[in-house]
Amino acid sequence: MGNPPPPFSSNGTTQGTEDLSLIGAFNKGDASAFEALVLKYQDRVHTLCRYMLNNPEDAGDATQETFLKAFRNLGYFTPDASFYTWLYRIAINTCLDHKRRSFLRRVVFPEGGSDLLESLPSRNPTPEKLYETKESLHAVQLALQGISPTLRAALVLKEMEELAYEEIADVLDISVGTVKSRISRAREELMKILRNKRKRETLKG
Amino acid sequence: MLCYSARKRISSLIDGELKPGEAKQLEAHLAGCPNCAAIFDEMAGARSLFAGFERFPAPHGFSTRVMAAIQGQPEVGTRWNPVFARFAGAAALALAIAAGIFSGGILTGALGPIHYPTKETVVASLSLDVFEASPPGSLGKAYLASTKENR
Repeated sequence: MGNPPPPFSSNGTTQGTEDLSLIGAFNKGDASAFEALVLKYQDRVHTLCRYMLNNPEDAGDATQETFLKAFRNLGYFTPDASFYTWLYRIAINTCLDHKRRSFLRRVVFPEGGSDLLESLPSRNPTPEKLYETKESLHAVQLALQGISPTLRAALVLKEMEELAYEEIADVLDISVGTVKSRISRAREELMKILRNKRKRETLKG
Repeated sequence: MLCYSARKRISSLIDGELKPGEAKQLEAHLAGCPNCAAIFDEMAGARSLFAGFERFPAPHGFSTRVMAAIQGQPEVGTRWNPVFARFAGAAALALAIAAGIFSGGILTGALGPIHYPTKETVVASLSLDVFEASPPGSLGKAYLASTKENR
């Protein structure tokens, strides 16, 4: 599955203009304009929620809740911020609230270590290699759940949505310096978890 | 550039968020510092892991369900207080029930008949009988009766 273009590509201005146009139409009573916004961002928001919560049902609930909150508050949206950073902020806060409400199961990987670069897909992967790659991606996905939600949010917004530091700062309502720090720490913790996992698997033999 | 400063900037270098001058300084440091270079390799590895990450499209029919769920919500622009909005439905229902009870009470007479003033009742209310000095059963009435008998 190919990655969709990030919100701010060379057509960044066009994207923002389109969103403002839809919001304007909605505020004048055109309900289909809001549905157009849902269709435009539902996959991104759902992917974000999925990596924040991991559980498909929780992610689906959080995604729907995000758009309902967006609908209720769209009248308060001001154009000084981009719509998608505003929407992502609602999504992240919804996921963080969900995490606080539900029982947190932290993934604990035993002590271990290995070079993860070996698990990256090669140009012409064999079926065995594809299986290993899928397992590796699954391991990374699980490892993401092992870092704190605030660090995870910053990393996912950077890696999955390819937002700039300033945009992430806007979404999370923190400074750019804090964004840098959180992404750096998230990567360090992620690698530590994966190293420990591989070490344990090596010990098991 | 010292290692302490370098390590704080490695993640930003990987993300392409360093200014050109700063990036060159860091790259020069990495070229000569195996420890920091190892940290760079590890972080770059972490970044590359996301390259093949799966996207999760929203479930089929998601937007339709969202719009259906929205149907009962207050429209944007009315700026309803969300607290009152929650109880507005219950309040409206209570009002409707109360109005129904009152209307039904009037129709069935359960609330008692409504007396409309007639000409006679209006005249009677204005008569001096109301202001009778010696109404029946009063001492004044008895006195007058006794004085009448003695005449």
